[in-house]
Amino acid sequence: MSLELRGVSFTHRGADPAAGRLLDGVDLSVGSGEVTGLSAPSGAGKSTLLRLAALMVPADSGTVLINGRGFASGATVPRAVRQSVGMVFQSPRAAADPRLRLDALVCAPLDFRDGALRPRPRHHAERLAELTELAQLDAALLHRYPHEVSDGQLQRAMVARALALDPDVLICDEPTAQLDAETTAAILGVLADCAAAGAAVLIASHDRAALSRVADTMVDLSQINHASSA
Amino acid sequence: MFKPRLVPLVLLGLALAYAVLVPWLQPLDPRAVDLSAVLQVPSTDHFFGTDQLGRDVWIRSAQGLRMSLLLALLASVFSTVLGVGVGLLAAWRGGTVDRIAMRLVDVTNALPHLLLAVVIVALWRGQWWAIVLSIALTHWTQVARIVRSRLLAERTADYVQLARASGAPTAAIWCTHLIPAVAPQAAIALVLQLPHAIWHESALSFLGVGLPPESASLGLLLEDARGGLLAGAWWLLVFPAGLLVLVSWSTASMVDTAGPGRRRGPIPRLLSGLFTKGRGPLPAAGAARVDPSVRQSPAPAAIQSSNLDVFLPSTTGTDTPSRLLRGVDYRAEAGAINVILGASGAGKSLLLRTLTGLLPLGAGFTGNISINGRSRDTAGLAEARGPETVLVPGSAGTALNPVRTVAAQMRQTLKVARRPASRADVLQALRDVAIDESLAHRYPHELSGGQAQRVALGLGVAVGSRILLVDEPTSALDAQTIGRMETLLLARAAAGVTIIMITHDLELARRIADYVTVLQEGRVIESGTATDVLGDPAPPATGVRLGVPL
Repeated sequence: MSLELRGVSFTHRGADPAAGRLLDGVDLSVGSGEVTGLSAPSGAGKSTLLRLAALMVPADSGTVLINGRGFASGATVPRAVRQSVGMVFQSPRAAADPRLRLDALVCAPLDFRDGALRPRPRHHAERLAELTELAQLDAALLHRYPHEVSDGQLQRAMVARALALDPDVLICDEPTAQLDAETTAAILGVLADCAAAGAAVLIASHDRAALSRVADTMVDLSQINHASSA
Repeated sequence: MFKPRLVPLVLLGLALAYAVLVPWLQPLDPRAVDLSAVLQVPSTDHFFGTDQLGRDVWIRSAQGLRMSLLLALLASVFSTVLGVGVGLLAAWRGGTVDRIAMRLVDVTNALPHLLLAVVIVALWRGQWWAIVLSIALTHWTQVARIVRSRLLAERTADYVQLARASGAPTAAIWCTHLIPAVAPQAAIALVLQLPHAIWHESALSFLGVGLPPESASLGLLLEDARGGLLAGAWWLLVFPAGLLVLVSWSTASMVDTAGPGRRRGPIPRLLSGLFTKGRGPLPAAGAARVDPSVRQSPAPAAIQSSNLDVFLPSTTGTDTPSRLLRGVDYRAEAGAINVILGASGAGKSLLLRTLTGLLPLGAGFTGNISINGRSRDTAGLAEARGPETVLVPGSAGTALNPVRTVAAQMRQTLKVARRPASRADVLQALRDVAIDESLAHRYPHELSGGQAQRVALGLGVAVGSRILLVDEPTSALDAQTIGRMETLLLARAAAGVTIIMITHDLELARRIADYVTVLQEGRVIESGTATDVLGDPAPPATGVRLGVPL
């Protein structure tokens, strides 16, 4: 269970080539049981790096290794590999389908893995209870739609969703930006527990203080990014 | 509020009952000619009179309406299915398939509909299915366009990306995310096509290329009426034409394509109810009581609420709506920085949205809200938005228009605020709110989360309202950028702007807040000057309530 980036570079499509690359030759490695905190000023390319690491966007060059298996840019990624990567986005509003209730959002990865076409929360009552407890989400909120809960509550649901398949690699982009201090600590604790269970966890956040409490390693993106404009 | 929408629904129901029941209860052979009762004026025997061959117009009209509605319904369903199919295919396959499909749409749109329809009908003269086909083949393009563009937008949404990244099969993504996103729109398009199809069918029959003359449709009846009119038989024209107008008007106005501030018609509400399950009854939205007895304090607050309750319709099927804010008495001092603190879900963002009249659809409030000393109802809050208040939402990424550059959005903001918006003005306005010139020509997706938040705040400030409501302006920012935001907010406050800010950052609150209000579970549990509430050292109980481990 590990995540590794080797020489990953990225330029925004349509960006002025003179402005240079956003990311250039980034190397990063997160081993099993490790929590790595990633920090950088806004605009440095944190979110982009995480999307590259989660194999959501292809890099210009370089390789992303999940559990030691390498994927060069543009390689097809088997479904099983994707299912072993959990992801939490910065904005839960954008990451949650507004037409699905929270219970459906949380259990969707389980059903999609099993080949169902729509989430079936009723099939997963037990796992849902586990996950909501893990992410400290009030179970009474499970029957609400995203527009009926606050950003913080929704983010907890999105964390629960990311944990649904017991991911080997967990990639979190500002997972606690919308949360109060108590919940921030709790969520980071949940992520640390995942690492303790063997997962490789990569968290980007501005909240250095909170991050340093759980991270084994702190990485500054500007130190590992060779892009001239950074 | 629902009543105006009920009228077309009731009228349509009556017309349907007439079209179905009358031909069934009073069968009439269209070939039965009764020359003893030719062209009789409407009477109790013949409500709508009789035609040139002595046939009862009341029954003939019902038969005609039934036929017209049936053909129009078939044509609408067929064209919607065709349009959805082409739209889905274009968005799904993309590339060449998409280009071919869209050129086909252009070509179809470029041909005069009626001409194409007449050609198809003329090939299969008098066949009902040729009429259906001719209408469907000329009207599927709109649906195809709507479905395709909606799908293209939906496909790049974060939640679709997330599902894809976590290994969801394509079929599941379509069934769970994409199809539910387009289904209500396709359904509305279907309903909107109905009245149009009725007219088309009538036009074809009137031109004599529709159904055979012995059958009845509204168009054929109008055709017949031409001869009768010369003999003064106005009823031959008035009744079928009235039915045609009545039915197409009531079908069209059931659907209100919901401009801002307008209620949606019953059909879209029903349809969207099919896809997002039912919402319970709720007290009338925005039933603000304007209470003249509310005493104004000597120095009027910028915004004040008293006994404010906000409720959402229940989604669990029970009748009690969930009450999200309870009896909130909030007061924001003019020209000061008013900070709102509280744990996630305490109702902070909801309070800001309520104060600016931006409640989620279906939610409502009771209680009194006054801005600059004047009591406001929902409409009043909406009017105040812009001239007096401006809200900068928390999730900045989704608050920016994805298809316009930062500079273009700033220009639009200045225009709306009726300020000069030349190139130089726009750049100056961006500098005023500390946005680097290098960001000016980027699109929102080229900004990082933190940059997007800075831009959103900058746009809010540029509106120039005297009350600035900001939802977590610093949640995704590094220390340096927080510093710049802070400077900006302090400068606005120094210029006399009232700032109401939500934050989770206690340190930030300590640095800049003049007044602090703490919310917990929808109630105000503490409020006062910053030193009173956040006094150093903070009383332990406050720390717990603020959601801060001490």
